[in-house]
Amino acid sequence: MQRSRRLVLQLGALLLLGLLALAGRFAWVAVGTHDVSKTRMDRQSNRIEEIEARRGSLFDRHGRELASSVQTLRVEVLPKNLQQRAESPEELTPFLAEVADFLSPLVAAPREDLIRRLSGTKWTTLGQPVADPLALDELERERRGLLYGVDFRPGFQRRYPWGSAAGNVIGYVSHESVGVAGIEAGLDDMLAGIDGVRRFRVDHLGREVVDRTAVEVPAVDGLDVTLTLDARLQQILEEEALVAMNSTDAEGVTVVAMDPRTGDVLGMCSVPGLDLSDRTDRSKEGSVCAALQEVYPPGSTFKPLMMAAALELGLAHLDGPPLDCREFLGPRTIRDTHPSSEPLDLEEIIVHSSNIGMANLLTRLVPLDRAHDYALMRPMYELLGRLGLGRRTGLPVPAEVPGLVTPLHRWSRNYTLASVAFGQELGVSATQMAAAASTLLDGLYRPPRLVHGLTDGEGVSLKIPSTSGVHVFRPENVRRIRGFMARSVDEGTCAEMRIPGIPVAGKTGTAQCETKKGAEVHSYVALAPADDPSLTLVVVVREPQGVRYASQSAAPAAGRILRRLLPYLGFSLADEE
Amino acid sequence: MIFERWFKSLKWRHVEWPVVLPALGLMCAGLLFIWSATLESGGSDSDLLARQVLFAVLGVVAVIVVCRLGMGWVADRSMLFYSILLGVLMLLPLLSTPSSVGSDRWITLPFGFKLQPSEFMKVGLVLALARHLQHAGVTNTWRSYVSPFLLTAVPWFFVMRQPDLGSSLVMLPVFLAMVWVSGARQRHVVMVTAAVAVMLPLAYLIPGVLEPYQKDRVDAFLTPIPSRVAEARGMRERHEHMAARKLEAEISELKRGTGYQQYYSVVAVGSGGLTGVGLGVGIQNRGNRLPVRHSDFIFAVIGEEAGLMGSLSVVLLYAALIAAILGVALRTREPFGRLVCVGVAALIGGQALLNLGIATGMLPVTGLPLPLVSYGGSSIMATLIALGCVLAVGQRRVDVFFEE
Repeated sequence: MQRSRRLVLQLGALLLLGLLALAGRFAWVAVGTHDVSKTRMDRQSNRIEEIEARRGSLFDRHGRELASSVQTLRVEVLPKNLQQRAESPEELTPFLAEVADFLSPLVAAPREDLIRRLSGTKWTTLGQPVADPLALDELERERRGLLYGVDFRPGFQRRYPWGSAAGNVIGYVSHESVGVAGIEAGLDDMLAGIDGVRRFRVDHLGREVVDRTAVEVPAVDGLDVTLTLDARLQQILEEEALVAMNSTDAEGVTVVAMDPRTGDVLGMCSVPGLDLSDRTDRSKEGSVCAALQEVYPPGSTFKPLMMAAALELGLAHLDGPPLDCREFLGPRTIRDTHPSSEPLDLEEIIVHSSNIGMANLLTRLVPLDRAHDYALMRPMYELLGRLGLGRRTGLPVPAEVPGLVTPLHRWSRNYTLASVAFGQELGVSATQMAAAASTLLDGLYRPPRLVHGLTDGEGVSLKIPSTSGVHVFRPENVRRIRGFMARSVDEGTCAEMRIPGIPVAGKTGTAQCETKKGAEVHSYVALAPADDPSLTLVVVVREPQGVRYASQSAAPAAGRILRRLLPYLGFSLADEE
Repeated sequence: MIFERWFKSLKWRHVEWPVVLPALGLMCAGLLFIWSATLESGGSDSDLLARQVLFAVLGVVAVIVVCRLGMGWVADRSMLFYSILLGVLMLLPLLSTPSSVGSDRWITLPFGFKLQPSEFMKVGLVLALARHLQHAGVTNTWRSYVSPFLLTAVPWFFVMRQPDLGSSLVMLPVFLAMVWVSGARQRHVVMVTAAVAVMLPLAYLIPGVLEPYQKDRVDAFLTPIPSRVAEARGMRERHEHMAARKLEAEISELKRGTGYQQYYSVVAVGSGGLTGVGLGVGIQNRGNRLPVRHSDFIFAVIGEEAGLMGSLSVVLLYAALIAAILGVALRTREPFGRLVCVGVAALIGGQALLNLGIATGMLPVTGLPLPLVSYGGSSIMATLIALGCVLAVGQRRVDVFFEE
């Protein structure tokens, strides 16, 4: 008996010794190899994925959506993952067919193509990203059932419901949702948002393991931006610009419509344009937002502003004596289209668009014997600066041009000063011109603006107030000058410019293109209604063929635009006689 | 109420709580980690846990029945059970359903249940050996070894032929332990052990003894994946690209095949560290990297999710259980009861040692459940019946007094 007890104890000791040895092994594996195993494990199973932030939408001033990002799911599959779910080789074909039948309408791809891809071996994207919310729901429902083993990559697709209206102003984004052109690029910081990140773990086939260890830093959505643009108005500008371009066979037409009371850019369009709804249309010339990215010589359209400048600088009085306009008082020959042997008063200078008159008026600033003393011309130079010329407006569109203003130390009385007086030796963008012309409302310069307000993901919105404006001209002077412009419309040769029932202050401009010999730029500046303007319109027609004057190209276009815009803005036109 | 009377008639005072409590602890741990290992990860069997609970309950009922019937009843019929089980085992190739690993282990029952006779055979062997050795004992003659050896070798052969290497291996410690305790000469036991130790490498070396997949497992054990990866890297550095490519192909084959179970099991235990990553979040477990992780490799899940603390607790529970069983063996005055206890201790202890050794990469892979913890209805029922016998022995010490 005693021996038997001893043997049992020996056996027990042996077994416990074995267990002790195991415990030692455990300790070694769990503690000694922990770092290596943990690293190996993490490398195999941890995945870090970026969560794309929703890009902010762009709205027009009335809340119409100009650009928005739609949630999409890209459907991807490593065929092996799906194939091994079939319980036997015979069931593989019907199973893949079932999956293909389900997916075919959702990803807009033919069933046969899907079956072919699912039977393959390579990682593949199935059809188009799914954006339809109903289809998305359906996919979500099936992702743990029929579609287990299929991957869903969330993403966004940019939509531009208004197509070509304001195409090159709004611009577009790259495949990675980064703004490339236009406002999309200019406001990219606001629109983009901040991408989030998610860490999760995958099983041996690379499928996500759904448990509580996933860590997520959520994405911060981009800001929604409300622009000052009016989509419908923009459409009208677009249509009429195309008509003008086609009827004059011009290189391009640019139109800017602005509210002179606030500086809001209501419409900004240049043709040839860009149809944003067509993803393949990203032509280089169509992408140019000419209203900000191209300069032109304003020519005679600049005369009303220069006359206001002359009054502001005390070079003349509104009811002062008429000026001799037969020849320029200086060593330079300046010609007029309609030479006048009689002296002209200020109103007649505008109405007849006299270059000599304007030059004689402005050169009063500098005595003839001090023609190169540019210090004397500083007031004029600074006034151009106050009109926003020679510097960028700062609108959120990349590659804006600052315009061309001769540096002050190279000014001379007989050339620069005399030329600027009738809008030559000067380069402006259509938007700069519109903002400058808007000072004819009350003599205040208001910088143009495109952004009306911002809204964040939680619905908190911020309205950006318009600035109060900088004094440039005295209000009583600009009111009179608007009257001169209205008379020039009434007495001008362009019948289309005479809008029944609404007086319009307008001025044509025909200028030689300084960079291209023989090419002309026709432009038109209008403020309507003339007595209390609420719309500034600039029309620029580049290199029209077969017409001599702006009154045959830009002016009729401006007339047609006003006939459609003024009713849209709430003015009623009288019946045409 | 017959059941109530039955229940009251159980001698609760004579229950061996030191045996019951660790066993219950192991079963609870088993259910917990089976739950974790079968967490819904898309299309996995979520009813495995329910089945395991069912079998555990059936097993507990079996324990009560065995206790109620008493050790005498069981002892009288030991040889009968043994013969029936051996018969089933011999006829198994005719009854069984082909399984995934190409071995005939199971009998299909209605409602999708499957029975694995080899699990019960182990218990039958313990009873038969005890019955035989109780009377005959082992004397110093070689002849006295013949009958116990044959009693072990016949079922061993049939289990081995299924093939179920794991179960057949466990029969060896049972045999050795029982002849040891019944008075075999130490010299003989050592010689048998040495003979086995020589035979095992021979089985690997002589073609045709081991199945190809069993050989693969030994290969994988002898040169584990990490060392092969290092070797391939070394070849690349020495610009032996052809050889390296061949080895890399072999490694990827191995990762797909049998070796990777053990490889990932060791990595899982290693990544668990001291305290584990938490229940239900082990990536080896949830990431489907370990096949059969709810049964044979359940310890990898425990090691990963409960860490060293968890795995040491499991070892401690086994130690307590074995100590308690052997305690019963020491206290009982009946040779049969003592031998049964020793056999059961060797069965549970040996199986646990083998399984844990495999899971931590100390032994080559053979399919063997961790007793009381792994998923497997036959295994848990057979183990509980064996424990039921131990409890019955424990009760008997008070009932029956007889002098030796």
